[in-house]
Amino acid sequence: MTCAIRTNGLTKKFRRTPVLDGLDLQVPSGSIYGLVGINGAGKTTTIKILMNIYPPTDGHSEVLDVDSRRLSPGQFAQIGYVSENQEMPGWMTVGYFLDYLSHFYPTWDGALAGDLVRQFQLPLDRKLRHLSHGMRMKAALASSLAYRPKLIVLDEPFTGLDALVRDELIEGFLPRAENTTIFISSHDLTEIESFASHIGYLDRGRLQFSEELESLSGRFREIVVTFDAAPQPPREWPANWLQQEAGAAVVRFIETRFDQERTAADVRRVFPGCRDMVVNAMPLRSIFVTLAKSGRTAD
Amino acid sequence: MREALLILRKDVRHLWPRIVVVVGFAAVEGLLGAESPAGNPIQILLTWLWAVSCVYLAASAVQEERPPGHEQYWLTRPISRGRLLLAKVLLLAVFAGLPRVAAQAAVLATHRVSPLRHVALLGFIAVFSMGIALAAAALAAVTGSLMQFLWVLLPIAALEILSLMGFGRDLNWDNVAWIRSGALGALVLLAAIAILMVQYLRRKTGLSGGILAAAVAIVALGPFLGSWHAAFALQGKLARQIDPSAVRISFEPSQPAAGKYTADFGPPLAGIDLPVGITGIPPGTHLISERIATTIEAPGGNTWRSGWTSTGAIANPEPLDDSRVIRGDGPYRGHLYVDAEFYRAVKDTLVHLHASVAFTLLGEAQSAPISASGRTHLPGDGICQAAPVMMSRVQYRAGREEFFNNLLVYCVWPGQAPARADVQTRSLNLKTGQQWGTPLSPPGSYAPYPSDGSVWSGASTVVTVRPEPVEMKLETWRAIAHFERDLDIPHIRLADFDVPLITDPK
Repeated sequence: MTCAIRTNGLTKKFRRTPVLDGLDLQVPSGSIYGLVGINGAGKTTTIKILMNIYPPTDGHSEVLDVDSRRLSPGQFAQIGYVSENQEMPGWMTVGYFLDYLSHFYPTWDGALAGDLVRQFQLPLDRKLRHLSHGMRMKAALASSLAYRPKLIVLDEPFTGLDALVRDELIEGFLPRAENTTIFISSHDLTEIESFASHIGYLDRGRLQFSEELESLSGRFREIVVTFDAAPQPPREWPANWLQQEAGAAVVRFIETRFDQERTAADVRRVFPGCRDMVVNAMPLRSIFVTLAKSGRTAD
Repeated sequence: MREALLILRKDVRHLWPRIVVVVGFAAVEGLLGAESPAGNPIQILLTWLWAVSCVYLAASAVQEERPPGHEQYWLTRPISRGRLLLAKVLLLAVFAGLPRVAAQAAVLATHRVSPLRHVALLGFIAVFSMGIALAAAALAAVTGSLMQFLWVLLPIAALEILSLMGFGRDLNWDNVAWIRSGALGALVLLAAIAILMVQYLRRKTGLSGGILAAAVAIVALGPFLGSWHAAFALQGKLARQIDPSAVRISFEPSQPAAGKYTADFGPPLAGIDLPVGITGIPPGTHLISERIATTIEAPGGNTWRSGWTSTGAIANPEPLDDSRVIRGDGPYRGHLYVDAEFYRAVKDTLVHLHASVAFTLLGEAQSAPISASGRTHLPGDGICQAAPVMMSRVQYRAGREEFFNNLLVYCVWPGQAPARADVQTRSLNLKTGQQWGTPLSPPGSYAPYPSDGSVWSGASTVVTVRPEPVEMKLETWRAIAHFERDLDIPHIRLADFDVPLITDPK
């Protein structure tokens, strides 16, 4: 598997506060990788290290097969980076901004830039500082797509945007990213679950899991087991059953390694007197909340 | 280079109002200079305004893509930091340094002075101007915004001004002060270059901040580092056109006693007047007695040291001549001023006196006639202007009164002024026919170029003449060597040589 991004034991501390703790991450080339995690999980720090904005405290990271600490203009000509807090040259008009940047990219496609401007309805003669947050993000995205980058890195691009603008942005970049790797961070899974192919879950600087979205959705299930009488709770719950709740005649939990036959066998082994077992598929948001809660409970 | 030019073009598009102000100040400074080469207070104001506008332009240019921070759009664009730095330096060179150099070259040409003969001077002005711009750029490169830049700049400026004022201490190094200011200026320039290199090429704001703090501390302490004596010794090594080893000074107690003195340095100091002889002064040259350092060792280990001081000198006893000018071999007086309390304690015992004297040897005089009214172009590119300023009246005891004209003579030279310049005035009235000399002030520094970054150095004097035709000429001398001589007297009773003051009832 070729990877657009690869990290190995990536660690970052701000003074003595650890933010990333031995992060091992692989983003397959051509994938749309969503890095999710609650605020403060280390997503932005990861991205800033990958973009050579922060130096890592320890560990190693590669972007497009180059050590991220050695990213040069040659690599940045193939990377598009958009961040929610990015400072833009407010005095420039949208038109001048695009024109100015076009000279730095050998692969800049003027026609594509024009298409993006039209699609995003960007006012070319308006100064960037006079644009709304949503329009500024569109301008940033347009300026990062017009040279057909090999890798697009988006750091919380949808924060503060209404649903309409978010959809416009997604519609803007997805069709133009066929041969592009997209690495996108978000604290809200619903923002990215519709288009991400891979998901990584970051919690307090550690990657809890990283896998294809299809496989992730497939292995998480809500299981509801019913009984004729109040069940006897097991002395030890299986490690892959999270958020166990026991009621009068019902036990509910989240199975994190769902397999129809194996899960059923496990339920029968743990609860020999169970009457019925119902399996419910889970939306990605619920999976995310489950993991977040179980992580906190583990403390 | 193409990238750097793209960034430069972008910066010019945004910063053109600030560029216009900087270029405008340089141009107006040049226009005023064309009108009158130096001495106009508005010119000094304009130089300051140019410097302030240049600092603002430099800070603004750097803040366009400020190096500290992690949210700037350009960080993840294919913009090389080296090219970015090159673009900023180009902007400052083209719109801050070059216009000022061009304006000053035009000023020289306006005054019939060929700029080509003063390329080194113009180069120095370029370095001086770029030094200001780069220092501002370096400070801006470690600050996050123009406001933060200002908040850092103001306390640094206040600290440096207080330091230059010496926190109340006397830090006057006279003609060799340029060595201190030159060294500190070079340090500022080197620190600025180091900060810009570290910040743009290594992106280490902590290290850059450390260099900045160290440079600020050294510049603030600068006036207290080193000594006049060390600077004078360095001056002697840098500007030695002739070997002065033949010059000798000796104690000659057989000389007649000095006349009475009007000078009185007050109760803390007691004056000593030593008869000395000086020999070996090369023909056509003369000496200036700069400073003197005296050590007196009394029996019992009681020792007093004056340090290098201009209070005291080898003095010319000729009453109408400049007392510090030694015009040739002959007898002179060594004036030393000793702590009065120490003097009283040891004056009647035999003590060991050692005096080191710093001399500057001036070369042969250059002489040129100057007009008593209007402008005169001197050979060697100087310009002198004489104009009446005020008439004065002298009333004699017998009731007779006489009127005199006061002529202000103001001379400027491109680069450095001569170490010494006198206006020699001779009355053309056959009855009076007087001739006298008036020194121009201040005496020229020994610096190779004006240390304030200006193109001209000036000096002036007021010559008082009877309202009758006069003939004037300017005599100038350049320093050709700086050296020290020791006067060692193993046994001397100070009371035998105390200064007889004119107010002394004895």
